[in-house]
Amino acid sequence: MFNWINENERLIGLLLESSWETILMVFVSGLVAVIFGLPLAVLLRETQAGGMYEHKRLNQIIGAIVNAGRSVPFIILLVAIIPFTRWLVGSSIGTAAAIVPLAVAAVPFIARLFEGALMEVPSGLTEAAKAMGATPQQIILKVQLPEALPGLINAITITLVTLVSYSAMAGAVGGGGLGDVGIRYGYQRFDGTVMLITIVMLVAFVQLIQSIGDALVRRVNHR
Amino acid sequence: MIELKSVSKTFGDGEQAVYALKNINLCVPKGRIYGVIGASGAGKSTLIRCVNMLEAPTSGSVVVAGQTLTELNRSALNKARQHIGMIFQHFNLLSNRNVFDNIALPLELAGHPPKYIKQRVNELIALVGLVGREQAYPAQLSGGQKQRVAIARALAPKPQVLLCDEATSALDPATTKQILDLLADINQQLGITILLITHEMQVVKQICTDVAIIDAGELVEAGTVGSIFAKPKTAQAKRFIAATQHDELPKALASELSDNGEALAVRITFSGSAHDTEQLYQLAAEHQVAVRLYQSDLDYVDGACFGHVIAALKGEQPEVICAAINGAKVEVLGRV
Repeated sequence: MFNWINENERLIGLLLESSWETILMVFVSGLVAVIFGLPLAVLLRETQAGGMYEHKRLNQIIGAIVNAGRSVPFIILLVAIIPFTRWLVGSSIGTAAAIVPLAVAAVPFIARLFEGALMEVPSGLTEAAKAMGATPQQIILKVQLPEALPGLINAITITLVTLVSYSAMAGAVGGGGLGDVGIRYGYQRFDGTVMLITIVMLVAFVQLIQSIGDALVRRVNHR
Repeated sequence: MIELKSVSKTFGDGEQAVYALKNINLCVPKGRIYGVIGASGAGKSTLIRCVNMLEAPTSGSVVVAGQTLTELNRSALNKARQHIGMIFQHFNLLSNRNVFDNIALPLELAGHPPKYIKQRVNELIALVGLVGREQAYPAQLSGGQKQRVAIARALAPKPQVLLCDEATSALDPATTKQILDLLADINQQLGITILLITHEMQVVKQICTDVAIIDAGELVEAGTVGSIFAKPKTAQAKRFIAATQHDELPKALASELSDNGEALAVRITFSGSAHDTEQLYQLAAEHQVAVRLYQSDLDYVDGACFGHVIAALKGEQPEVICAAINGAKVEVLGRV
């Protein structure tokens, strides 16, 4: 074991570095997805029939944009938005450049999941809050979002796990990360050991995200 | 305190329009417990939702505590709603807030300081009898306890009016009675006007002072509970009253009935005007008639006796008693 570590110092350095890149890509794009996805989900929820700001036309337009975002395969989105990526971060390669398409893909994905979580809050609670004289903003902030919290956390967990898988593809634009190591060393150089190590690390990473997510849901869910 | 003036509510328009409420006029004086009873689909839910404008009436006006709600803008309406409490059939408590925080919600919404909220919530927890359960979440409570939390939450902003939307329909009979007793207490202690809707005459009988009967979106009859029970005018009112009484013959009696027994079997129906059962008692003593009870279903509404007694009268002249009872209807069923 010690021998292996001494012999493969470079590989270990690479794995540590790419783990950090994966973490960076997954969590930064995840954070961006939450920041943009949550208001989008609230908008989708409240503009549809039965929502507090019912507006069929607006709901259809936002819904169509979100669906379009979700229907483009990620590998195509990755290259298709290169001009946008370059304009935003000044480059089309590197970890920062990989974060842009990851976030762009994650926003509509998480928005739909968030919307689903909001839809699960019983309409009776909104009605009760209205009867108390709550304003629509108060209903969203004090009733709907807190009551949807377990579902929202679940949605974040699912999104982060999906982002881990997408981040492997982001290796294709020089974003780095564990998936990229797996492809370049494991697949292209036929190094089975490296392939196995990256797979084990990715599986462990996903398990960790899922366990933390589940534990958080258990803590906040009193239903 | 609550006044609905020619309120109508239509859902949809054109050919598919559904008339949920048709020209409703309802006046609930301060301090009363007013029941609106109707079958499901009669429009009673829409009616109570019009009182706090959860449903805006298509036409007509709604006046609560002197304010015409139908004329208010959105923010003024929200202010007015803070003084109209409401409880629901399915409680509608926030599952991720504990008992204390659920009751605190309307106070937080109104922007009260935490110190006041703490004191007010503790008062209410004592009022509804939930001391010690402050930290429990709704999922850990029984149906009756959940409705107590909902009542405390509705009372938190010190409303003048409490609306109860089928508040006991999801509860078992014993819990229903406790919740109704609590509502009656609140009405007495705090002088809050209560408007409740229900499909059970039992609820009206137990706590209401006044009752209105709604059928197919129209109020068909209204009055004090005593007067409606004594002299129901419409078929709908009679049906609801009959539903609270079971007057089929008990099996034991039905099998014994014949043309020549030594006792006379009778059904005596009291409808509020008779001097209740005291008269029967005195007449039986006077004429030395023995009374055997087969069934008795009596209720007291506003002090007057309603219901019936099925009994066998045995003695020299039981027919004399039947003729002497005033105000109650006596039917001879046969002899036993």
